Amino acid sequence: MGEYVSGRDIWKAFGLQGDPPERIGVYENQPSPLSADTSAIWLACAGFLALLVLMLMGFSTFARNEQVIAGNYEFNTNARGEASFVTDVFEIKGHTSDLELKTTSNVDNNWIYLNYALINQDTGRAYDFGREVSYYHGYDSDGFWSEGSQVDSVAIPSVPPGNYYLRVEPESDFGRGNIWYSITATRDVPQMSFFGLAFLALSLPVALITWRSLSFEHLRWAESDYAPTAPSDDDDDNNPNRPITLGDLSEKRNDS
Amino acid sequence: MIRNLYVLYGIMVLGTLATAEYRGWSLTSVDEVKNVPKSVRDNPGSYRSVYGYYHHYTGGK
Repeated sequence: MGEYVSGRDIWKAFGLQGDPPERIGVYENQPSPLSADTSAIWLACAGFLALLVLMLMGFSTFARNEQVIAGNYEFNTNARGEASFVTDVFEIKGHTSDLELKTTSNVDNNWIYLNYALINQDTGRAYDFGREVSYYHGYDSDGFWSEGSQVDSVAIPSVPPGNYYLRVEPESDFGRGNIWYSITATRDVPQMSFFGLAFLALSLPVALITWRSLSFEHLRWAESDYAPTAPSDDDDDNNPNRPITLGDLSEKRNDS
Repeated sequence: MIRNLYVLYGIMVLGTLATAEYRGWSLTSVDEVKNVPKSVRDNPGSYRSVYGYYHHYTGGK
């Protein structure tokens, strides 16, 4: 078969001017730029994914998951006037971490919107955000349908330790009766979404490199008369290396 | 060489993940307000929320 030499090396060896013509396809003994790396990369990926699983277990085990406040409240949508209130002061301990706020409500074909402010009592620094809890359901020609949820959860990022309280201002449609809701805040909760993103970040490059390597090999075999594919009707019947078909066997039986 | 680049990339991904989990990063964005007066505890209505006073979603299907 000989040794594969690239056009650029030939031009350089003979001191030719200009550039060699563009390569077309892949020759049978043309070395793949990726095949040697692919298996090593898969090994590295497996190692990283194992490490990812260990990190998931570690963070889940050692996270504080400490409930700092929990309370049940009632919002009277028939009442006019100021609806906002503040909770008791609670302490957030440990290092800077997230605070997960969970809101559960008994809304049924209804909604409630809560303007939250997590305020540091000592520094006057506040984290302002809003959450909606809505749940609708019914029946139509396709059967039962539902939309939304009675539970909402949000993670406030990078909250330093200190003494905090929540300012809560509920809103809803006027005249919809009483809406009950509960608020629970938990400190230092691992965010699973980041592990999912890390899994994608580690897997996608490997998949891309593997696909490129397989494409290269596919191009190599496209040039071959002996590619491992099903024979077409245009195949040369006298080719001794073509795969044997049932037609050949029945021809042999008829001949004998 | 691609393998070495991938190993470096993988270390960066896991390092970023560890930092994000330890420091409590989140995909949620919140607005930070500074210098909230201590009088808000006695008069919660005096605080003006960033997200208040908009017409919120009131429909369903």
